[in-house]
Amino acid sequence: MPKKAKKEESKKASILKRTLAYIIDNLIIGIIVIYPFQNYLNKINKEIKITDIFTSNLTSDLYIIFLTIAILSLMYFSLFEYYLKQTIGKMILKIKVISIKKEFSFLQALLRNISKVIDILLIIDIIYLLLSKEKERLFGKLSYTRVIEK
Amino acid sequence: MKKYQFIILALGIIFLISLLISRTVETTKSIQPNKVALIPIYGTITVSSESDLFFGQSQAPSSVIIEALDKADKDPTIKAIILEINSPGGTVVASREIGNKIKSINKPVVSWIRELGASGAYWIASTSDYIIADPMSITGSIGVIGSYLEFSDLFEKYGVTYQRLVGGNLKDAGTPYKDLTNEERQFLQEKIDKIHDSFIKEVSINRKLDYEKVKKLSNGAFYLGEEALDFGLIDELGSKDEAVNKVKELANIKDAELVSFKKETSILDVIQKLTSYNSFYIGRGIGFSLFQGFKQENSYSNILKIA
Repeated sequence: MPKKAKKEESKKASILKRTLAYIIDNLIIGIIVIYPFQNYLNKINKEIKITDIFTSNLTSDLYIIFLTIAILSLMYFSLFEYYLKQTIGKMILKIKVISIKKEFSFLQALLRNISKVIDILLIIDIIYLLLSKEKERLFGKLSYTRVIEK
Repeated sequence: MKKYQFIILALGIIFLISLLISRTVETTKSIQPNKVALIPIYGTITVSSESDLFFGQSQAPSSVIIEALDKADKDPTIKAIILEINSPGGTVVASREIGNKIKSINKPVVSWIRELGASGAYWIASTSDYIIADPMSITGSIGVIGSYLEFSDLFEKYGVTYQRLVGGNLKDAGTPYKDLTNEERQFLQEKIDKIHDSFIKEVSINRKLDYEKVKKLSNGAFYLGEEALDFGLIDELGSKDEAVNKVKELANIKDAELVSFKKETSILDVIQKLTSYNSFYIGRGIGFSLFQGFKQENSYSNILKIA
């Protein structure tokens, strides 16, 4: 049993690889999710700068945009991990996600990626990752998933 | 489904959804109600935003007003601008700066004078497309002030003398420490007359009134709203409702959502002001002790106000 545990431990993907994969995925999200909103965001960019001084009525549009970006980003991570056990970033870095309890479900994929689209959860996740002995994210642990070397 | 087929399909679907929603947001935005910017011009019109935050007079710094006008001009959802004026006037340069900015705007601009729209504030109002004022409001006051207090006799009484050391005869024209010479008085009066004439010309052109007629009205007297209407200095008597109706008519829009461009004072502004005041007073203390005795009081540039 200790031998098996040791073997599994060695398969764990490093933080560096996971971070690089996350950066690559975010670049892809930037192209397929955020780019279509670029025109509109550019247009209101000047207004956002001045909203510190003047009142403006752009918040409802921004809510819709940020909500769309968050949901589609979550879909990207969850769909790829559910169907392929890998996002494009993970494919490039040759790492993948596994379920450590049972068959990998879509709910598990959603749960492990929810923190990637909600800032405050991401901060908690990163702090947990840095402080935990296993070097795992909190939402990785909560969803009973792990990122391993392929 | 093969791995690569899935990748292309998933990325394509996510991109299409994103594209669809972005277009919908832009379309919705374009059918939102038309907006009208309401820009307040309250207090003395100045070029700088230095003011006593807690006890001082309210000020209308030209930089802040121009920034608001610029923002309203560039915002495609804003169809017109209402200037809410309640100001006794201010400095020549600040009034001119704001007036020039208004002239450069291609959207209808309506001035709504509340209690007070005199002097520099009237200069600004005259550059707009239409002026509405309350019948009892105070407007006009087309004139220039260069007056100041002179303390030379008081100083003499207390044995304080002004040691005049200047390079150039007119360098200290307007200092409160000595009597004006005839040459200095003539020099300052010429400048004041020039500004006054420029003010008259400006009003005459902006309001499409005969120069001589405006000159006759420009003895510095203020006029009540109803008098100003008779003289052609304003277009209509009324209040906010009339201003909104007029701006809708000029912009050819049925509905208008008023967007206030009032500057909000945040806690950060308060802290920033307090910090800058501390620095200013420390600096002033040092400056005072070092230079006060030798300071050139070339003060006429500070005292000319069209108020």
